[in-house]
Amino acid sequence: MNNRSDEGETEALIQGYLESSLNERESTRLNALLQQNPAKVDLILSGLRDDLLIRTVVAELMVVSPEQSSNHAVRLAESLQWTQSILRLLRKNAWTTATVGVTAFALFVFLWLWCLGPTVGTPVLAEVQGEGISLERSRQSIVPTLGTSLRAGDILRTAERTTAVIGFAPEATRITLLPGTEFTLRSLSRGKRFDLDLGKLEASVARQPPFRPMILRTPQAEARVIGTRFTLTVNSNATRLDVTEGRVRFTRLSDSSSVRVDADNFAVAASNYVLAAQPLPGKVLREIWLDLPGDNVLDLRNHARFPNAPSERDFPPGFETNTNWPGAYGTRTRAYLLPPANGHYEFRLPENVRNGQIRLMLSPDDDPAGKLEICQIAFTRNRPGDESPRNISRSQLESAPIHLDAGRRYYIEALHKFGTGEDRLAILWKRPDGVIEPIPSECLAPFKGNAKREKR
Amino acid sequence: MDSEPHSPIKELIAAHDAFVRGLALRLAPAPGLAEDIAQQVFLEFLTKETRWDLSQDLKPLLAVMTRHVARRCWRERMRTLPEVQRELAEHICQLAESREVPWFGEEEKTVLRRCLDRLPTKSRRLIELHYYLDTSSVEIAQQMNMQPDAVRRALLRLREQLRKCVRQFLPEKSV
Repeated sequence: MNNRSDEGETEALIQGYLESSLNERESTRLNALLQQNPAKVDLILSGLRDDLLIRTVVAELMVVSPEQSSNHAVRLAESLQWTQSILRLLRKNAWTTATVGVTAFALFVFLWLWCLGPTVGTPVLAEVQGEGISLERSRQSIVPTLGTSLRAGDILRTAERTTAVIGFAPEATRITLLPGTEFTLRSLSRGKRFDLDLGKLEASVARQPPFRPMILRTPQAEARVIGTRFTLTVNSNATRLDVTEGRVRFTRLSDSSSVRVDADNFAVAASNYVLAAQPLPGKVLREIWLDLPGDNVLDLRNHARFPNAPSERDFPPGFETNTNWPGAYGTRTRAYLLPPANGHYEFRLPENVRNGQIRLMLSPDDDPAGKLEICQIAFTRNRPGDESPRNISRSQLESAPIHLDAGRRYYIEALHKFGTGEDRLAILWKRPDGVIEPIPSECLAPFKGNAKREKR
Repeated sequence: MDSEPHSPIKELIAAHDAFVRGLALRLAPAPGLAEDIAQQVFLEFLTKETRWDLSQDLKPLLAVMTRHVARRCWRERMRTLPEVQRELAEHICQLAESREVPWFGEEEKTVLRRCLDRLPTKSRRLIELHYYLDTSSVEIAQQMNMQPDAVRRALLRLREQLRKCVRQFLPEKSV
């Protein structure tokens, strides 16, 4: 009896490990069990192997190929043969009538759900803003009107300044084609399959039935969707996916590598670009400590309220500030840097800082633990009446060239301590093409730290 | 637009996929990591495609690459874990290195596909949420009006059911 409960406990703990959901007590217990019986590791390995096998097959099942469509037809034929067998059985044995009747009904419901259920809401042209929309059907051009039913093989094109919405009533799914888009309805027979050849679309997708995801294909990538809101943009050499709600599996077609993109993240499929989910850019996380004396970063770092009790937090679009807050304060601005191209970048601090100190740190990856100081600037305090800073001390305004890869994200942090006078924080970079500019907000995404209290 | 990998390379990847995944699983026995490692190994292999002599046995090269990538991915994963979980993972990793992991082939995948098709809709939904969308038991429980423990038990039973089903059609091998 004890053995059985031990077995049950081990199985439950192993399942927890496979799901990465063990708490500290459970982890300690599983560790102890493995020390008692190291052979139990085989159960973990076989569980990991099974999970990987199931994951691989399920991912393949989510893609519909013509071969699978024909398999579907075979399955239907098999179901019909089975129905005929049941009818024969009914004639022979009245005793099983009730059971068979229930089975037949269940089979009918299953087939109805499988073939005719809510999978394929009929797509119709629900809204059009502007006049430049065209529909190509069987190589003939048709002028679509509101309510026009769309079929597999149809190609919709929106001109500049024209937006079209495809609805799938009674489903809540809506696809908005933005200006300059070419969109093909590839197949509707077993899940929705579309091609986005050019342009941009916004989609709000209602939950799709099991194993029938909506699949959107572009020249570079494939997005498999079960229920979510997202934007897909295609140009001549890249596809970008921005997810605002739910999650989407995004696959690069050139090497079949895929990534799961969650809400508030994006990914790009292109050559020379690492396929990874990144937080949506455009903001940085800024923490502000007000009424904090001193004009040295050490005054900030050594203060009791740093780093866990800032006076306020906000999300400005970049490092650039010119706040002129009254009184002494300190800020920590944290972000992920998203380089737009592979190459060497140089970082620069502004020379016209009046006083205080700025320290800029960069990590070789997205982990803040690996951050290193790459440049810093320190000015001594102005005396009343001084027109310019008295001197610059320990300043290294420019970093060395640092190689960064497009598609990867790097943790970047600026610490800024300001005493009195005119305050300003700005971070510039020199891109591989030689352009010097403030780091643009589209190359910055807000740092998302965990909720644990940080160490200094 | 990206170009498709050359078909000999594709064949080569298909031929060594099981080897790389099996090794990755032994070297980094944590959920979801073997897939990431295999993908990264082949990606790095493809980016340096011109350097390799494809007529030679590529297993030693892929083994080195897999070890290298696995070590890197394992280190990164460990860094994110609290101390107790890290100790457990390191212990499992140490034990796993001396074990053999039988790998699956196309035949097993085909059989599993049939087994998945036989599952009731609710089980298929569960499989889809857990294995395709990587949804946690707690999130699945919320979506399917179940208790998280019930979801874990259901997943355990489903894996066992699929394993039995595959054994039934593939008597000489086990999942």
